Amino acid sequence: MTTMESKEEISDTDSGIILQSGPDSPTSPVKDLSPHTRALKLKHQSLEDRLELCLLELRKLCIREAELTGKLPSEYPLTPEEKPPRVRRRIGASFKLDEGLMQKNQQDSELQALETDLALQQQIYVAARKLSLEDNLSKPQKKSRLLQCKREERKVKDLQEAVFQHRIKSECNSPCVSTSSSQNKDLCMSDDSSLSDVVALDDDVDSSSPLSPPVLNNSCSDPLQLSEKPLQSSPQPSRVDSPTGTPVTPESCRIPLTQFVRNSALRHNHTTSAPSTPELLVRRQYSQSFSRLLVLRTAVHGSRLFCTADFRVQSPESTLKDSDQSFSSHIGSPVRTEPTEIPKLCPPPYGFHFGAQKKNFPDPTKKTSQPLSSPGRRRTPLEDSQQSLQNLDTGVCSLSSSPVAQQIGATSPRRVLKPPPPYTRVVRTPSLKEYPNHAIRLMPREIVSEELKSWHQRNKLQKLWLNNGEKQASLSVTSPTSPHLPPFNQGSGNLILQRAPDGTPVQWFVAEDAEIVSQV
Amino acid sequence: MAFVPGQPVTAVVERIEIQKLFQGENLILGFSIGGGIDQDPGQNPFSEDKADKGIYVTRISPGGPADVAGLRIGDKIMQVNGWDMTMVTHDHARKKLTKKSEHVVRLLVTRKSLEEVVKHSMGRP
Repeated sequence: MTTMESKEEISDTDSGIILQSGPDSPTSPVKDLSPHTRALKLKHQSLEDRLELCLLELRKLCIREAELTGKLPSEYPLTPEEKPPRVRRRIGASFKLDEGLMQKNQQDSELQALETDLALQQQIYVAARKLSLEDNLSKPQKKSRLLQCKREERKVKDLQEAVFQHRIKSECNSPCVSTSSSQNKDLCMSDDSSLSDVVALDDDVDSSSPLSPPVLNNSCSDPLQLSEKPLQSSPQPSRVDSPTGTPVTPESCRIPLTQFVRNSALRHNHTTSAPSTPELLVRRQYSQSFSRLLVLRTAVHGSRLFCTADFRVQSPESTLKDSDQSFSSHIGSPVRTEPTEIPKLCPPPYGFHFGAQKKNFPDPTKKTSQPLSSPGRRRTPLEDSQQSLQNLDTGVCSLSSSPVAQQIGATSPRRVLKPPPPYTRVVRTPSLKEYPNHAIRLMPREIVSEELKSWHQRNKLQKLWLNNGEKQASLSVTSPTSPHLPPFNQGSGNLILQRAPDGTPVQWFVAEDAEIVSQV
Repeated sequence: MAFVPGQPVTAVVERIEIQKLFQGENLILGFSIGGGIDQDPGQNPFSEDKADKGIYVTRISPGGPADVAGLRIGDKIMQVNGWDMTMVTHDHARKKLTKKSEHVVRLLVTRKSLEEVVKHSMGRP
């Protein structure tokens, strides 16, 4: 249009003959040279320019909308070009950290820094996971995203570990343990099957079917029953890895069990995803009506020692923040968490040595007379059918005594657990009052932390061995306290250099982390 | 050695010229590399910045051509015969190093100690 107009102008001034060429020319009759027309033309031109700008903006907005919604809106202005642009649905990977994390005025600034790092890292992990689950990814893209996700997950674990160590050192007795069962669910289903016998707690819950109250005598059962109801009605705080992705609560103490549990059966099983082990499946069937994440938590406080088990129930829109923050392993503190926690609980375990086999769920109704100290004892799924209570048995036989065990069994609380909605985890710290004569309290602190450490190491070794099974690299053991820098295995003489037939060196895997190293 | 993506990288580098050695049928350089943009940077024990996806020397065969030439473990390779190594895949780097037609590779490598040396030498006249 512009060129045509300028041609017209030129021809006007040059020869007075109007040469009209271009696609639009036939439509307009011979123009007068009057300024009136010219003004009109100018206006026309400016309007067209504005229209052009608006169309551009509309295009951009349509693309953005398409990225958000996944499909291109119909208002997208298409010029004579044929096909609409391909849009890619963007995965929302932005997040906002909990403000509370920033402003907490803890005395221990290092711990605070660790915790903020942890929260941040968890957010990053969630974002990475969302990215990896995006559809329409090409194969290498998907692979790299999964790798990234795994990396972030590992960082989260490391940070949690660090926070936990820090808490242990500083004898922090602040609350709850955060486990990330949902982080494992899709990505590493079958990797840790050897550890999967543990806590078979399902995270997806049918909220419709309430639990039948176990047949137990417990004085504390009533408050716990009461406490359920507020939980049902009020949603719980969402954890970082819940679908809505809101920030995690700051108080997240960790215990060795969490790491173990996390790698194991503790999966955020969707109804659509298959369980990783048959045992899980069986347990799922029986625990279908409720969900909880059983977490063993140990705390050292003063001269006494005890273990408490935490449940964490999480749902996307829950407001159980208070209970999380009030989780504490204070000995003798009243059951202040009860009003807001889901009561489903196990009596605290009296030992720390749990291997893959050792997570037991003794039915308190039936096993009060049996010593809870048998390490290899497994709860058969059949026993679960009726009970609404699961106990975590860490199986340190040497540390528990039979009478104590009986007492524990007898006094384990009876709870009625109404299953929380899907994607929930129960978090709860039982009060020590419930277990006044628990074996753990009679144990000296040093023994327990020693066992913790050894368990840690064993766990890591186990993991190492699992991963190293097929690789021919020499083993290097990670020190439990330095998770951040995996050992780098410098190729030594015993590494076999493989060469392809044409003489080019072939890459091989070094160490358990599958870092590729090429020899040149 | 941290870098800002999109900005030019500046580093103190050392030129190292390695003569490849014939070992049987193969031309070897006597060191191993790790890293690359397709690799996991978090596992690199030599990098300061755990997001650095550069090519690092992970092992040196003692007495080999690289060792003799002065390459050290943990060095980050910036260039190989003029080819950039800061933003390449692992395999690409390997190929550039193992060209059979080239018997000499001239590397530009950087390491943390180099920067410190320069700093010290500049700081103390």
